[in-house]
Amino acid sequence: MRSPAAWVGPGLLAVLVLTPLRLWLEASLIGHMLVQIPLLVLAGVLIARSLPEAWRVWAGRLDIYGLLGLLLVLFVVVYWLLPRNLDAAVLEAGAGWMKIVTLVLLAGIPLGLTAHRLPLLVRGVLWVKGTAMFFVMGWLYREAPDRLCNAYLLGEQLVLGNLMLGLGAVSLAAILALLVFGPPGRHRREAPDESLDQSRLSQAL
Amino acid sequence: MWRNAIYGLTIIALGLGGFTTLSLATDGFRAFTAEEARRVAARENPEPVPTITLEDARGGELDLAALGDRYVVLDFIYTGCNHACTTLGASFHRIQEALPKDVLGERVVLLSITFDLENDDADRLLEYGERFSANPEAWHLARPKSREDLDRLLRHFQVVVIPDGEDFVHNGAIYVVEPDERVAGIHDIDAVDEVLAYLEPRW
Repeated sequence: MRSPAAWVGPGLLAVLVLTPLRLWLEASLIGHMLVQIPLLVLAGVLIARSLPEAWRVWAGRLDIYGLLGLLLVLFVVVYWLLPRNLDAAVLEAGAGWMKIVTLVLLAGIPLGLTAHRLPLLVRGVLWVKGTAMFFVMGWLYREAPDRLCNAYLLGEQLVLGNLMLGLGAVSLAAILALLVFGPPGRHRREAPDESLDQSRLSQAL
Repeated sequence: MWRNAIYGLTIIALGLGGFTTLSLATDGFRAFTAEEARRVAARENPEPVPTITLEDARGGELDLAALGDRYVVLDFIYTGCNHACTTLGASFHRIQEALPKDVLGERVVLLSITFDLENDDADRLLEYGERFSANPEAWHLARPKSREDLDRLLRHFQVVVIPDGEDFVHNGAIYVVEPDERVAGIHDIDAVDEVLAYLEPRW
């Protein structure tokens, strides 16, 4: 018998794909980019957690540092975030299903199987780069004079840009807080030189 | 040792594969949006217009493919539109006025096709034409005969129409169809000079 936790991933996927939620999220640029796509990846991650232990061992042997998984995830997610592919995913049924399949199988599941192996340095670089990307993309969407997606309105593009700038700002604040105050949960009486304690920091990441 | 080497090579291979995929998916990093993609495709891989017969607002029928011995400057509109279609109408008027007498209607014709089958009948199309002083000899106003024909047309030209409250939002453009019936150019809705510069050496 599988534990109830094992059904969270498949359940999330089923809700995302088989219910009217899919159309509702895809009807808006923000729902599509910032909610549906991350949730599809998350569903894959959760599914990976409940896969047989042997798979996880096999993935670990194949991808010692989690870099293959990371690369795969980045390429697949970037592919589907290209405006023309967002359009295709909404306007062409085949592309829409391809998006779901690849985001779960080639992004979410590899991420769930290998992400915990990523070295601390890579996680740090990812976090900082990701924050920078939020600012860059947010600015691009905010300032674009024309619609980037044929399936979405210009006004939404502006809101999306602002939201991404906001998320970037939150992420930047978190980085600064981590640098200034150290990882959360650290006891105040501990010596300052422990603020870079590897395991704590990697927990925070 | 050799395991790490293989791991490294696999990472490089995956990186190259992903990069190549993204390059193919963006026409060599030139087209990130569907709009850019269809313009690149029209320039480099022009495709013939579908053979569809339209209803001419001034009576009779209009065969899209049969207009083909001339250059056709084409757009998709709906007469209730107050944004892009107004700009398109003004652009078409400017093109009409800029073309020499012996070219207008002879070598180059203008064609506006409505995609609002519910509201745009012949009268409303003629009214639209009057609003922009359309020359009846040179600027045709037409509507598809059926929803299927319309869908075929819109799919072919990759026109995406989405409702926005009372209005429609659509990726408006000026299309240039060659005498051999291929769509060879897709231009911005106000790019009159660009269209004229394309046509001038050819008419």
